[in-house]
This record gives sequence, structure tokens and C-alpha cells, in this order.
Amino acid sequence: MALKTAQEYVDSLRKQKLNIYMFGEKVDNYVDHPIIRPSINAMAMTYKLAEEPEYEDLMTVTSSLTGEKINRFTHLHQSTDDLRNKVKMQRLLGQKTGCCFQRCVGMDAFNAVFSTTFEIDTKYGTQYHERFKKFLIYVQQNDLAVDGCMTDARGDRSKSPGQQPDPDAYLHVVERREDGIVIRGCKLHQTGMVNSHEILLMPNNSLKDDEKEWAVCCAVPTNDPGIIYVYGRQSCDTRKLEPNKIDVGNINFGGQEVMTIFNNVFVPWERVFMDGETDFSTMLVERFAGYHRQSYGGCKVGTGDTLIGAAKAITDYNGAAKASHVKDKIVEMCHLNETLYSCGIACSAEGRKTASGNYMIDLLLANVCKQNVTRFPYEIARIAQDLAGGSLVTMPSAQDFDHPEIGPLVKKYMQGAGDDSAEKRQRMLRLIENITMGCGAVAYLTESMHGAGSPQAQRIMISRLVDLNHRKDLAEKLCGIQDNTDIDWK
Amino acid sequence: MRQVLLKYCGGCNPDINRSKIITEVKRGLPPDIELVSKIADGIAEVGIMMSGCTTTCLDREDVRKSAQQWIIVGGNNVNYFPVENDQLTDHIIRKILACLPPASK
Repeated sequence: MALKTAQEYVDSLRKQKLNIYMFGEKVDNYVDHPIIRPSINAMAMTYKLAEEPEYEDLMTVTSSLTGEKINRFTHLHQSTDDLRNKVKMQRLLGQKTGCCFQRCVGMDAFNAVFSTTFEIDTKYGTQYHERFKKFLIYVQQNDLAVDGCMTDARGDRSKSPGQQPDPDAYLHVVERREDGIVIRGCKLHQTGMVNSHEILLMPNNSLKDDEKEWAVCCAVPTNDPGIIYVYGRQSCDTRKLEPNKIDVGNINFGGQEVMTIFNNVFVPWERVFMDGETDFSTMLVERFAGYHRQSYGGCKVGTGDTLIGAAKAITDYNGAAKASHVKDKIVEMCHLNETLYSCGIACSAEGRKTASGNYMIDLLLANVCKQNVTRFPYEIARIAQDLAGGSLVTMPSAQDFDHPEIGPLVKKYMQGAGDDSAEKRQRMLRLIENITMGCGAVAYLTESMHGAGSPQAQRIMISRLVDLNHRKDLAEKLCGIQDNTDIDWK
Repeated sequence: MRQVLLKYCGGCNPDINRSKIITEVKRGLPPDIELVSKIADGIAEVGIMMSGCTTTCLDREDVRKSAQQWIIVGGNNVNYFPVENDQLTDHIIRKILACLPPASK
């Protein structure tokens, strides 16, 4: 079976026993929990669209490892076309869910680990690449969701892993056995963790020669009994517990972030893809981050499309759509959103083959893409709030709209343009609220800022990747400081 | 004289100074090896694709068929493996010597 249906995916999660905690209590039936379920629905959409004839050309692809039809989220990119199609698929999913659909991080990890293990093996004669291929074939053939897992707890940020007073501040190997390794530590902010089947762990950052125990890359099943999940809070999350879902805004979909504690978890050798090769930690981190910075040029654009649509809708319902400044502000939202998309497409089109055969994005352009993502969604959200008006934050609750006595009065005074505009305004304002300051803002704004690395991380990469001396030479030739040897005509 | 085919990419926005590296490569090769932009008859034994950045635009089928073996430079990558910038020249020279048959006596 190379493709799961959305229903089979949800059913597969029911079979997993996970140690999940939320609000200080253990969660037994996490699949049907009203706070968690929207994130499962968002991930389920990555399965659903692969079933649909009108989307399967984008959502599915032939595996380079098995020749079977697989979901693109488990694919190793074989060309720059594949890289572009990845971005297009992510935009589509963002449009369909209006949130983070959480499956990209695994895909980005696969592609980074695939090429890096090949290069580790070439240098050291290790067997990581073949092990990883077997793991990935298992993932592809069972159409699994995999959480790519990188960010550690990190303790004192001024100290490297080996200098931390508590070595667990970064996930590390605590024991090497004949049959495998034992790891301990904690990964923060894990998007799409408890709705995944597997975890692909990577080191957090560049490591020094003497930090071998932190140079570990391996795969662990999500239902390992040694893992504890603590579900992260989101702004307005308890609205999902209310009977009337209108105030949630995005009725069916949402994201999740989970603190994931690895409490002495055993990993057999066949699932270990790096163990002590500190000199390849930078390569793995940069490649994963590069792919993930490309991803945001697709997924955030898709969510941006829904926010632009919401802004257009609310101005229609308010009767303000024909005002020239309103039209111009929507044009500005589109311009910013399409600029992000352009960056995602550009870093894909300029991608390259790796020694292992899969394709990687252009690192500089992917970092430029993500740097823009740290800014433009905030501006798009600002304009959306501008166009929405103050009711965005002052509107009565859904219970007041439904109240037998005051409900008709609330609707009477919430009416805009058109007889049915009160409920439309109520729903659309809640959606804008969700994306710009509620649960959805976690992914659309703060994740845009910090996900795949905070803004300064991209600026460091940009400074490393741009050849300033080449640019200085260009300028010096133009103004005559250097001879311009190109000119050989009279 | 042993000949190595040399092809440059279009050079739109290079990360490396292609012509400077090639000048240094020429200087470091034995005198019986020359880098040429065309092979008089047929297909070259060895070729160098000199692309200025990692996109490596030159690695195309129409280029590939003009030599039996290629040393593919794309920015600071050689044959798609990363190489430190200050070691690029020596790395390319070593690759050329490894690919070419020994000089006939």
C-alpha cells in the first residue's frame, strides 16, 4: 500500500498510544480531542488531496527508490521541477486548510538526511545512507507522516551543547550498546508531532569536534513509551472547547506545537543515520533549514491567499469594497503574497543536484525567501485588520448571537451590506481574528518569524553566501578604479 | 599533447572567479595537458564544466555528450561535493590527472 486515504490516516492514529499531556492532565483519546483534532484534520488533507483526480498530479509522484506511486510529502526531489511542484503543493494545502498542515518538516528532513548521509558515508565508509534508504522506503510504502525534529531546549543560549551545565539541554546519546543507542533530551516547538507516525531527529546546530554525543540523527516511532508529549498552548485555544465553533474562526483546521521529551529512548542501529560525525552537523542543519525556508514560500502564501480572500469578503459584507483605498490595500496584500511565492519558486528553479542524486534548493535564495516571510505576513495581517475594522476585536460571542432575547438585537446591529451579512461578518471576522491573532497566528505570524530559523539566522547565511568582493569588483570596473578588460573594441 | 575540453556557463552571477581558477589550473597542470574550448575531432576524453554557482546550469545533456567524463564545477562544488574555496584549484587539478590516461612516452 503506497497511498493511505485520509480516513485510513486518521484510523492509523487511533492505534497509537501516546503519552500526551495538556492543561496538566493526560489525554487519552487525543484523536477526538477538540483542541487537537483540527491539526489532525489539516494533516489529513495531505492524504485527501492525493486521492483526488484533480490534485493527484501535484500531490503524488513516482518514487525514485521503489518506482511506486507515492505521496509527494515522502518524495526525494529528483529535479528542479520537483522542487517547484513542492512549493505549489504547499500553496495548495495552505489554501485548503488556512493553517500549517504540518507534513512539510518531515519531507524537508528526508531530503536533507538523504544527501548528507551519502556524503558522510563517502568520507567515513559508514552505512548510514543505505539504512536511511530502507527507512524511507518503509515510510513511502506505508505513506507515513514523519515529524522532522531539530530544535532543542538549548538552555543557556550563549553556550554550545558541550558547555551546558545540563547536557540534556541538547538531545544527545547517553549510552551506546551493541544493538543501538540510548538518547535523552527535549525538542521544542514540534509542529505536527502527535499526528505523525515517526520522528526523524537531527542535531540542532553546528558542533565542535568534542561534541560527538550531540551529533546524532535517528528515527524513532512516535509511540515509543519513552517519549512524553506536552501539548503547547495557542492563543484562544479553549474556544475549540465551546459548543458553537463560529468563534474559532477556522472551523475545521489548525496547527499544533508540542514539547517532546525523550526520556532515555532506545534506538536500534538500523535507525541511526549519524552518530558522532560532528563535521557533518553544519551540512545537515543548513540543508534542512534551506529546504524548510523554501517551504515557507509555499505554505504561508497559501494561508495568505485565504487571508486576502477574507479581507475581500469582509469589505464586501461591510459595503466598503468599492472604495479606492480598500482596493489598493488588497492589491498590496496580493503583491506581498506573490513576492513570497516568487522567492519560493526562484530558489526551486535555481536548485541543484547533490552528490546523492536528489535535488537541493538554492540556499541563498531560500534564505532570502524566509527573510521576507519573517516580515510580509505581518504586513498582510496588518492590512487585513485595517480592512476588517474594530469589530474584529469587539464583536460579541457566538453565544450572544444565538441568545433567544438579545440574539436578534445583536444580529440587527451587526448587519452590514445585505440582509444575511450579520452572520457572514461574524464568521469572516472570526477567521481574520484566527489568522492574525488567534490560533492561526501561531503559524501565520510567529512561525513565520521563528520557524526554520529566526530572522538573524537567515541574515548570517545571506552574509556568508553573497560574494561581496565580486560586487566590489563590478563597481570598481564601472568607475575606472580597475581596468575594464572586457572592453577590447575601438 | 593531451587535451581537456573546457566549457563555461553563462556567468550571470558567479560565486567563484571562474577565469581566475582556470588560469591557476592551467598553471598547475603538466605542460603536455592543455585546456581547449573545442576538440577537433569527435568527443573529448575529459571535460570540465565550469559553472559559477551551485545551480550548475551547464550540466545538460547537450553538453554532456561532448566528453566521455566530466569534472563538474558548480560554485564551490566539484562533482556535486562541496570543496573549500581555497582548495578548488588543487582539487580540479587532481581530478583532471585522475581522469586522463598517463602521457605516452
